[in-house]
Amino acid sequence: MLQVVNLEKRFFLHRLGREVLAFQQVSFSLQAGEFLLLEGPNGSGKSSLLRTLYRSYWPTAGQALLQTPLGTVDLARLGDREVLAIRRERIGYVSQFLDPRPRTTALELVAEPLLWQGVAENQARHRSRAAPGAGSEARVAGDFSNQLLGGRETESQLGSLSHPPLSAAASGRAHRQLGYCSQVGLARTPTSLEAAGNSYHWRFSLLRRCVGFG
Amino acid sequence: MAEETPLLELVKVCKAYGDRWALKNVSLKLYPQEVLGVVGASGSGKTTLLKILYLQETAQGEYRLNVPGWEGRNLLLLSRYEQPAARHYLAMVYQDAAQALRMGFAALTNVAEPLVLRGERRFGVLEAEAQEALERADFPLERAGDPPASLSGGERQRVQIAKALVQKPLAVLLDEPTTGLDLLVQATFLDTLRRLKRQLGMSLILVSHDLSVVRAVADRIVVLYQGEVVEEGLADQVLEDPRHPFTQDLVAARL
Repeated sequence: MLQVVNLEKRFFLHRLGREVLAFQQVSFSLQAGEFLLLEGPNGSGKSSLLRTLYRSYWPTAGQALLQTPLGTVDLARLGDREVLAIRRERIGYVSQFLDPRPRTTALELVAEPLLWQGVAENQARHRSRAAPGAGSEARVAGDFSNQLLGGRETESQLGSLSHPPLSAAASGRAHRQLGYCSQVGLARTPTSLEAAGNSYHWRFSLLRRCVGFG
Repeated sequence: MAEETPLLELVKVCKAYGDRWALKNVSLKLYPQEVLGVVGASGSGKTTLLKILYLQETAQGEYRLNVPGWEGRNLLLLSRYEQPAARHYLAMVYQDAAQALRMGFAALTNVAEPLVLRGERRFGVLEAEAQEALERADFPLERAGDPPASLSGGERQRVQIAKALVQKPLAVLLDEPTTGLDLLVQATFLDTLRRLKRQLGMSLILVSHDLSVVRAVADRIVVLYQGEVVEEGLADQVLEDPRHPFTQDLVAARL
């Protein structure tokens, strides 16, 4: 599903006239349904790799080939508009550092990808309640997503990645297939990951094999 | 993937005031249902760019709208008599509401005005459409009869948005729309923009010196420096991994 070949990220800090290497020569491949663990000490480039795969960082070399229904695309070369579409439909990102969306309830956060796919508001809410994560816990679903406890916050983000395949009647667009999790270290969360990955045959790609790193 | 067609496109636009370049070879594209942020320091050409987009300034280069009947036409070559027809596809929201609104007339009247100018005379239609637009802009309807002069800064911006909405424009141009508003008002105003983008499929070009405002709503960003586009990319990428020296300074310039 994803093949990363000699991926590299360097930053050039103009003020300091200095180059900083985040990571280089990273290669691995990931099958559908597989969980991959990135392990390494602080500063070894784990988070930078995820950000590069999400294209928040510009890769400086290498390829990241993602299989999509429209063919294989190279995340390292793809145009900005295509990356936006891929993010909307195929790649999710869960971060340890939350507070991305104040004034948004957990349920709204989870429902958002569905609304973008054109699902009606009440239907999106209904389906989001069934998604793993805070969306399924009625008690906290109405709380603001940035005011939940850490584990629940992460879960509510997970919920937004995990919408089941749309039924034939719905728009027919695919659900997201690939998720990146940055440092999901909270005890509850691995369980949620499993739940997200197993239910709905949704392929959550994280934590299984180790990639030597740093 | 299939090549998308932009709604609006500038190709190598140049503008000089005397012997000083305000814009040099600026190219950009706006796509459907996207927010394009334009950032840069004072004097970088942001406001000139918006004026050119709104056909209030002449310039060299090409400016195209993907609208039936306008294909292949360069809007920068239009005569003064043709410009108003092209401007119908655009709406402008100013930092200072007084530039767009009649401050002594009711908010509802202000919003209905573009419809009147297009020939709508039925009072019931005018009122209903203006009310709907105000509601969409999250304007408190009980104040629809009040003039902008007696409204708060945030409410005035919502009246401007509603006035833009009734025109059903191809794109809305926003010039520092939240500058001078307090933080909570800014935040809820940006929430409204985000929702309108999703629900109505609106396309926006947002000019701001405030990176956190742009971060909150923009999908893509272009960075202007001394009249030139020095960097463009996904909003998070430009702000988290800026590559041009000026963008790095801009992102680092926080209090």
